[in-house]
Amino acid sequence: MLDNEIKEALEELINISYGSATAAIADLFDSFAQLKVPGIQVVPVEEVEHAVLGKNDHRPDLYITTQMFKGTFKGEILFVIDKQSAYNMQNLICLLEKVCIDQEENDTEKRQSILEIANILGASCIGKLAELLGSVVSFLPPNIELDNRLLMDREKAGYSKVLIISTLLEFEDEQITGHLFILFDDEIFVWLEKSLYAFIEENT
Amino acid sequence: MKILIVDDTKLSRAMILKRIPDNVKNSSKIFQGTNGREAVELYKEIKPDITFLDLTMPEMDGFTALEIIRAHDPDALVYVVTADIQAKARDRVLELGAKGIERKPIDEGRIAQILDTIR
Repeated sequence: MLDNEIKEALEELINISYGSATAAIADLFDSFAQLKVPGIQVVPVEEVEHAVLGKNDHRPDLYITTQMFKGTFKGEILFVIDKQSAYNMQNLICLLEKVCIDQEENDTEKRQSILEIANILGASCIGKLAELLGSVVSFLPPNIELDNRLLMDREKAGYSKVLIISTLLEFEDEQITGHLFILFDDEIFVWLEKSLYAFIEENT
Repeated sequence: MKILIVDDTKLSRAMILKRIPDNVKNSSKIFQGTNGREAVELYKEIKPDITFLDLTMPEMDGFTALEIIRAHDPDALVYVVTADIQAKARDRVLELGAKGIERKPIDEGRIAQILDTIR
């Protein structure tokens, strides 16, 4: 498990990485996003869905994007956004593009926008984290589902415990709230700890 | 010189501390805080010559702390050191009276440059 020094270092590097990622989106929207201190937890694989989506009673339908990344370190990025936030985000994007189509009628358009935002957010965040740790990663194309559960069977994918990093994308004025989760599997723990210790050693 | 460094993570405070030139470090008193509330309390208590302040912190964020500090002391010299590099965040801290806003992790040369201006 991660000790406090390593956990704090990871929180700070995610904070720096996510700051860059959020700025890319905020500047695109010409808006201001509240940044929050990221959360870090290690959970058994069977608890991932609960940790990411909350309790399953009364859980609304959510747009959930998943994107795998691989390289020196590998993992998965999830971006979760509720339907109303997705609607508000799409309205903002169509105002920017000056082409507005009826949102209720055009789910494809909405999904493409969410995928694009998730891709910018996830790739900027993980790309910056990789850069800070002197590493390189590449990204697989993201997928999107409208559901109230996580469909991927992570136990089959070889996970036993999962490191979950969670941050919030919040544009208060536009009423857009999304959650970004980064999942690392078992074999990454050792590498991550070693890289973070090296980073601390070099920078403090 | 009295230097106040405020950030919720030890790593970030240590990164700033490490980049302060040794001659300045040896001749200065350095104070550290871990959130905006502590920034305000420490500022009022020690009246530092310069403050390095983070924005994203628990209890009280850096925007609020900056506003209170500048209301308490309009001459307060505060540099924001942050991961929040949004154009609107930059505009807001400058409006609130920060002398500058620096992207994390701050460059060693830049810290020396900033400290040179007040010595």
